Amino acid sequence: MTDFMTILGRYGLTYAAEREGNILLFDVPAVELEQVVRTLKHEHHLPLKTVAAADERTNKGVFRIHYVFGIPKEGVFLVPTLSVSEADATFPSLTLVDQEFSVYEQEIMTFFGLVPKGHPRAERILLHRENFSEDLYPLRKDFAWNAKQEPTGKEMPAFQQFDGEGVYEIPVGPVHAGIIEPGHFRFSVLGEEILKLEPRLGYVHKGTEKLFETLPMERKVALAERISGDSSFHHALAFAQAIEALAAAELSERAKLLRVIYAELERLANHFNDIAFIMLDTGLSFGGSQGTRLRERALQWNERLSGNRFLRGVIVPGGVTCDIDAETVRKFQDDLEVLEEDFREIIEAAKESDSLLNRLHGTGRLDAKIGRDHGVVGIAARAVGINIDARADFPYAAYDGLQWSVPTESSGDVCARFFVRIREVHQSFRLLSQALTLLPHTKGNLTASIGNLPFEAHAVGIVEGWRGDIVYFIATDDLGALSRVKVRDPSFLNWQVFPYVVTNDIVPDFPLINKSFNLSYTGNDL
Amino acid sequence: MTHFGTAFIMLSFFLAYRATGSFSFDVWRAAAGAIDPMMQTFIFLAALIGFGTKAGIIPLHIWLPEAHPAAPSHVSALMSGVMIKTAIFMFIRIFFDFFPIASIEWGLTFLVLGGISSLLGVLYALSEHDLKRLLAYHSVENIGIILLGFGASLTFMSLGYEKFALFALAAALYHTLNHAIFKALLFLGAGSVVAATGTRNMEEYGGLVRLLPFTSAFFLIGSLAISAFPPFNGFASEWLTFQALFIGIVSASIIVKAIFIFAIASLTFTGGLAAACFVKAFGVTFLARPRSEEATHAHESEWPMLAAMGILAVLTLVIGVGSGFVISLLVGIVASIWLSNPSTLAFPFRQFIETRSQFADILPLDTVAVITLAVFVVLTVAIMVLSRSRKVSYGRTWDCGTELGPRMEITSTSFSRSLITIFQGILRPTKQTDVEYHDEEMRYFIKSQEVRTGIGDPYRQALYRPLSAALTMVASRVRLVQSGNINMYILYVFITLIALIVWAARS
Amino acid sequence: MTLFFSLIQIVAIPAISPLFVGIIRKLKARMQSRVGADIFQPYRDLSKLFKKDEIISKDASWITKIAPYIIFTVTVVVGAAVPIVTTIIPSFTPGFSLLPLSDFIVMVYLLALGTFFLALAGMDSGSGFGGFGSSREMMVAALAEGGLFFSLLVASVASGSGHVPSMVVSLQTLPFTSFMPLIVAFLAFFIALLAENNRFPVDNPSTHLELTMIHEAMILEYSGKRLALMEWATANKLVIFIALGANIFFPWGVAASLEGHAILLAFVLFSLKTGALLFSIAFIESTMAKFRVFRVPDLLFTSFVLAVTALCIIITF
Repeated sequence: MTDFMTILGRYGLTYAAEREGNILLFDVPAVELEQVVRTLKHEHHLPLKTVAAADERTNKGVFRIHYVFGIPKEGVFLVPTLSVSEADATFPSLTLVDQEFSVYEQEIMTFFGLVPKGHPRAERILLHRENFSEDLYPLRKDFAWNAKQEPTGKEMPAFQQFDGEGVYEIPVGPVHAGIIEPGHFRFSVLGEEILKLEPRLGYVHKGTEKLFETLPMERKVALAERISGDSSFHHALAFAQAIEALAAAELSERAKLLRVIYAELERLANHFNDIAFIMLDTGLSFGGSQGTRLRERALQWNERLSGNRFLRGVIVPGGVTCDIDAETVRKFQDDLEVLEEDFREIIEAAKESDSLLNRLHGTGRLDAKIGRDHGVVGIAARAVGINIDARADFPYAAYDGLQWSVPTESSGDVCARFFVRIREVHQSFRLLSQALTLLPHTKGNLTASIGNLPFEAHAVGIVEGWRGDIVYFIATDDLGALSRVKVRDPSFLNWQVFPYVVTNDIVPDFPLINKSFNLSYTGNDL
Repeated sequence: MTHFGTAFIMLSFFLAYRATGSFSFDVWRAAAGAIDPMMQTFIFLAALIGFGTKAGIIPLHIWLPEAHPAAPSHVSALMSGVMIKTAIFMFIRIFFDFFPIASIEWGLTFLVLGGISSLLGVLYALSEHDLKRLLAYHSVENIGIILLGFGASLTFMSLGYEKFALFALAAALYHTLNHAIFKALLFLGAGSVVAATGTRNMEEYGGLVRLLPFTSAFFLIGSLAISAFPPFNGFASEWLTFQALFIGIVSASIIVKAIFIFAIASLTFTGGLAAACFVKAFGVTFLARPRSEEATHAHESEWPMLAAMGILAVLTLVIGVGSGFVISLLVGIVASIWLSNPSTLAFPFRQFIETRSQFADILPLDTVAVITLAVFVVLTVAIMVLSRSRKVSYGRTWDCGTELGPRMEITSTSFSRSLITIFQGILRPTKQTDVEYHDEEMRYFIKSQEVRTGIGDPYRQALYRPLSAALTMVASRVRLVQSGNINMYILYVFITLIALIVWAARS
Repeated sequence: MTLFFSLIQIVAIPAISPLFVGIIRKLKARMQSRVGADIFQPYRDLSKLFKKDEIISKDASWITKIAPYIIFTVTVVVGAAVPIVTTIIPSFTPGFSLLPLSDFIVMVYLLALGTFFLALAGMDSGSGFGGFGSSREMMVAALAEGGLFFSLLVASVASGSGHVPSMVVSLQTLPFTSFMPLIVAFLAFFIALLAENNRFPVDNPSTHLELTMIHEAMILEYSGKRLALMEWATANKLVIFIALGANIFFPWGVAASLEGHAILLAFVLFSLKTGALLFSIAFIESTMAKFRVFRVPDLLFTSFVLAVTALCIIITF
């Protein structure tokens, strides 16, 4: 284990740091925060993984804000931490340094009541003022998780108007015609051209992070699974990894390989679905029906292996609950070969459809600079050429022993996101084939025991969900119980670039663009 | 533009005087055959430009969309309905009556001009959100349609097909009559709306169908007539014009056929685009919710205005349904120009007129109207009876879970934006966006945004501005003569006197 | 006899149109590896809708209430004049026949009247979806009219008549060699058919994505009996176009009299021709993606150019 003080020294930082699990936490005074962040982010290009605030007034008398930076390839996180007193209740905004901080700071303002000084648009997000009065801060410790709110009677805040004669607005949602999650989109439109899009989310805010603090330990994994249904496994995995980092638990080779197998199965099912629906949204029903058929096969394998179509109940901190015996491994490998061949044929047919490719090219282009400024992750990032993947950057489970590559495209349009998914499917097949070959030769317990958790410690769990990386930042209190769980779903960041993706497009292309991102509303709202 | 047009008209008459020695129309008729072809061309050209300005042919139309909306609506009705038709009257007089020896090029020219005017007129109308300017551009379009019939007639005359020429001219006259009626109806309707709301801007209308029920009903009838739907009068005259044009495509030369195909194509697309334009005009003005304060407080007009509109609306229906009678009447009128006995006409060609040899049964729109009405009544009654136990209740328009405000309905500009984009080669739309940011460094937090759209005006740019600039330049040079110095003026008089003496002495 | 036949001719198209829609849906389902609903399902759907209550938007006016009746009437009236198995024109008394309705210009413009009211109904409820639906519909209709009109004009010039039944009769006797321009005109007509009936690649009749809709967006606010009339009218219009395409451009087999064996033969041939057209439509809808909205005008101008080319060929030779 590298000496952590030398790590800090590498970045020219001379603060006192505590080494806990996989993170290096050090306190930074407010006046030096911007300089530290600039050093880490702009000089050394460390990616910001999440920004988590915590209410530690009972223990330490202050609020603390943790800025989690990751050091790729080393699996270590640097966490400069700011303390904010209750009396002051403000902290310096870093939005003008990097746009990426904007949404985190708005979230902290909403849930903790700490005001980011210097933020160009310091407003509350996610909690609708029709339902939550402006002086409620749910994540403060003095707010009861089951406190009831009365509707405030206030109206929805006005959307920004795009002036000009002939401009009209199309409101779409929160109730949609298809089976998708609720979210409101306010388009300002001139004819068919989209001038402006303002999304309003928060319709499925469930108080998840608060519930993490109140539910008993055995229910917390189940809670993680229900944050975003199509990423049940990966959310649970990230949470479990955070716990394991905290407890310094060692998993068996078998458990790690099994985790890889289940993870890639979840990725396959979702990519098949997206590929199908992207084709369906252009009207190519052939691709739609074939893709959903493949997805059903993947979900059926989920059920056969784990008893649950969405792999719920498979993850526990310390390992997995379901094993795959040798004979099932063989059947699975054979079926995967058939599936891969099927998939290849479907994609060949799709590539030959000029009408499909014509719809996908140039639609919904994300500019690479805008993407980088907002810190987009996952498929959206890889589609503009940003090579990030938590499986490669912060290897977990058995990934660092397997051969695979991270596919990137550069055009940033729907076509790029479509092809990133297709190529990731091929990589998943590759990973599955390797893992399944290795599995029968590994031994070990399915679960390792997790002892008591250390007091007043922090840890980070990071996994590459099928949309992008999922980050869990957890903290324990002075009794070893979890006092804060900060969940950062990739959708939280990617929704921020949405308004910039549609400005050169026409209204009928919006469902296609939306589907090419397929962001989670509930993962964003928590 | 009036002076410009008048100058050319006078030039035409002066040239005719020069060629025939008199201003009398009878002398012109008699001497027509003897006029030198070159002189004839000039007479016709001057007449075309002069009366064309009055009629509003493209590119001489630029005054129309300014003048017609500026006048009070009943005057606009007269201007569009009657005034510009005087130019058509003169075209017929000059080309058929006074100098009936026009060569085929003139007929083809009118066809081309008519086609261009109709297409461009309707495209410009589509881009308008001022209700009266929209109607003014439709006048340009309909003049184009009239000229299609007129041009066809001229072409047939020069090819020697007198009967077809008669037919085509009847079509042109029918459309002249019909346009007068339905355009007047539409302008009166527009006047009613403008009076009720205080603005001509369609983007501020909406929901007027409940507050101005009669105006909206009459305007709807006018819209149906101008979009050429059976059984209204607009359809009858466009149908007749089509038949005249169809005759042209089986004629002798390739050029003639090609131009007739262009004419049919322009008439076809004009019909479709006009319907699109009136869905926009009627829909944005009258339907859905009000888009402004004024629109919510509008009230219906007084009964004299409504009566005027009502009479015209009834006329559109009557003249359309009675198309058989009207057509035979018009043919008689046209025949009086050249032919002695119109009732002995027969149609030897087996083109598109079935069975009868008289004109009366060419287009029995009355049958169409009766059948449609019968089916409609039977259907409505049957369904009402069958579903009398079903409830009909009223609720909110589907809003996906939010409240719908006045900004959330389609606007006039947005409605036609797609069509304008498709025809951007002709219309040259412009779009200018202004954005204001909170912080100039970060382009991510926008304070305000605005967009401004417009349509290019190639006529002023390419034609009128250079012309008037040249004119001004010449005038300013000539102005040098006016030095204000009385000695100079005495010198001019002296020089002129000397010149006159010398010339008198010579001759 | 002729009175009976005339009444049948009037109700024929409304009677068979739901079946045509059912057949297309079944074919599409099969091509997507699904079983699909029974071909008579649209009848049950219509019957179900007629039995339901209605909700009308508070922002809507009498236009919304009357439009379905007008649109349906127009399709019935035009449908009565379309030759299906025979070219005899229905008449009620000597002297009062449906002849004027069979003029192709009258047909095209009557159908356009239906489209006009449909577009108005779409704008009447004041929803953004209906508004842009109407805008798109009028754009497509205005541009498709060129190809539609000219393709019928080609048939008219080739046959020397402006009335559709006479066109069919004359075209039946045309030698095969002269048929080439008519085939080109048929291609133009087919594109116009797809555009005017809101099928692929112009519009997707079975989409749930409001932002992409054209036709469905305008009827979003309809329910109960009025929705049934709208959907039925759409089916009628489709059958009108299919029947026109099958019988004008492939006129062989349409009976000239009301004799039993002629009618039977005509019926069989009609089924074959329309079956082929229905299959083509279903095939296009299952194997192509929908065109982006601004690519549609290119398609419609292509239709127009094809028809003009066919016309030029006909009038030159």
